[in-house]
Amino acid sequence: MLKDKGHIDKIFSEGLKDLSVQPRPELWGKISADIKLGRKRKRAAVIYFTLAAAASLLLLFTLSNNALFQQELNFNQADVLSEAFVTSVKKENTRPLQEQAVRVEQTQSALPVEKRQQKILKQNKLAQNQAPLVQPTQKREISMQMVLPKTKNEALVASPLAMKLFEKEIKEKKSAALSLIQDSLTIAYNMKMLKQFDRDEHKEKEWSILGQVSSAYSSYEGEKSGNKSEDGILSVGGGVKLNWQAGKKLALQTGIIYNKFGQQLGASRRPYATAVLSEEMNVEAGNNAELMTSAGQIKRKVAPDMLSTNATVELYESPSTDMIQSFEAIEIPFILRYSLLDKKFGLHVSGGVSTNLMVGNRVYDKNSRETLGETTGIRTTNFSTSFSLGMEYQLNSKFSLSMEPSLKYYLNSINKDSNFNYKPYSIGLSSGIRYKF
Amino acid sequence: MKDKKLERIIKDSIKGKSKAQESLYVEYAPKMMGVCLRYAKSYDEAEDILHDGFIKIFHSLKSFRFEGSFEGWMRRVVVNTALERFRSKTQLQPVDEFDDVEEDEEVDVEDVSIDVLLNMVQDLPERYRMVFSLYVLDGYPHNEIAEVMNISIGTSKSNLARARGILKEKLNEYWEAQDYKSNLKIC
Repeated sequence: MLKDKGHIDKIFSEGLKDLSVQPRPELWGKISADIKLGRKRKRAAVIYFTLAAAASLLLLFTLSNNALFQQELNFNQADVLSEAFVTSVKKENTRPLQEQAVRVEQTQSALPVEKRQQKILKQNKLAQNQAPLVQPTQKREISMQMVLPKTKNEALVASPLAMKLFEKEIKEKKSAALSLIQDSLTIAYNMKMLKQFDRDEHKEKEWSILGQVSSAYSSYEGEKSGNKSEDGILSVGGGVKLNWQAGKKLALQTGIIYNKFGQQLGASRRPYATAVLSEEMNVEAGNNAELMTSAGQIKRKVAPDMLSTNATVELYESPSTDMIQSFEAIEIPFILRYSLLDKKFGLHVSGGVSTNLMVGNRVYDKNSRETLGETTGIRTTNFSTSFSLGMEYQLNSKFSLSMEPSLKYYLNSINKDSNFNYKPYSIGLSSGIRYKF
Repeated sequence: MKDKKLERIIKDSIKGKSKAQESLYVEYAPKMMGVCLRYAKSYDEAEDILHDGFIKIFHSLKSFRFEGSFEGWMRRVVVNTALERFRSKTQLQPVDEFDDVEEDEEVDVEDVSIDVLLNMVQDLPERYRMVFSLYVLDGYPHNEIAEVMNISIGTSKSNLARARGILKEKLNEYWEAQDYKSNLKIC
């Protein structure tokens, strides 16, 4: 045996430095499984924290809207939950949470849907009452750690039994935390749905009133009277509409709207330039002279001072003055409104039919506004159809501003005489304010 | 393993590809097991360190910057794992210091197998084994050993001296026993 003087470090480093030993084959399986488990845990942790964040946000959102929510629902505590139930829940606070959850679930399943929804709301409040229950448990855990000496505590933690218990405890805590989050999410979701349900329900019964003023250009469709001096006129109108929300999207509207339409008759090309008034014509003061327009014959009112024996009087003092043939109507619409966008800024289309009661019929001088006559044969009741695209901006929960370009078209000729086919139409812009009840 | 191939395997392992991870394990596990055995008291404990070490390796693989030896980086991770394990255990043990440091550790060298040397190291008290392995086998200086083991430099030196003394004694005992056996055979 070879003997030589050597340093002990050299002996060991030469022997062990590049030591290579094959581990048992099953070790890789264990490592691989643990890596996958770690990944799963990581993923679970991400999901857990995402859920927790989502739940927190939902709860925060719900709580921030709590005042409004309560105002809208106007829930009475006594209606929501009886005293007996509150007492029973208080008693159950001493029992384990899971047991309580099962009992509450059973109680819920035995109740009608509406009551259950109400109780879900109450549970959210009860959850706050339950919060102090967790604190004593936490305190107990802390006190256990404080009581045990560090060494003993660590020895306990290191023992296999303690490890198993610890793992079990972690699982229980995780499952409890997860169930709490799930509960929170469910409560928040239910509250949101309930709020939506209530809003929809409220919306279904929603009445609102809409005040509108409109300016419109009116003209007509029909046979011209042979002259080309008839032009459309601009006029203003306005009224009140009552809106009834029939569903989420559909609403019915009716109301009373005053509007004016007609035409301008050019002075230079008036077809009935003059009329000779004489005793032979036997025209008396207050008697009328008739003139033709597309809308009908104009019955001219003759002023008494215009009459003179054997005098030739022009009907119109000033040939350069235009005349306005105007009609005034009270419109009672029946409109169906479909909402395209129901947000702060709303968009809707409306269409319907209207009954128009003629309340005004006159021909007047455009400049002096002096009444010159009226159109004969005008129907007192006419029907029209309308179509509009409305925009609405919600100022608050009660008021909103609206703007509505519209097209209105008379379905019938407003003159009873079949010689005249006068169907006026108007293109207008209404603006108004809506008040929700 | 060639550098480019190794780089690809490392990158695939970072992505979580099982086959790449297995390739790395197959390539380096025996060498790392050798490291673990020097820090462990037994084969089972060495495997535990190797298990934890590889979990850490795969977990912190993205921090490897492809600068220097990958094997060296892995070795360091495994040594750190062993040290962590040691630190978690030694919190309950009292720390003793030796002021007398023996410098002369010359021995008569005879044939000795690796198994015997490994058993001797593994039989050392834990702190001595750690200091001896760190200093002699992995080249850590005393100040670093003091830092990673949370002891003073003096304690590190004294622990090393004590370890050397024990090993020297064991080696001599072993060789004496070997001599005695060979004498018996001759007789």
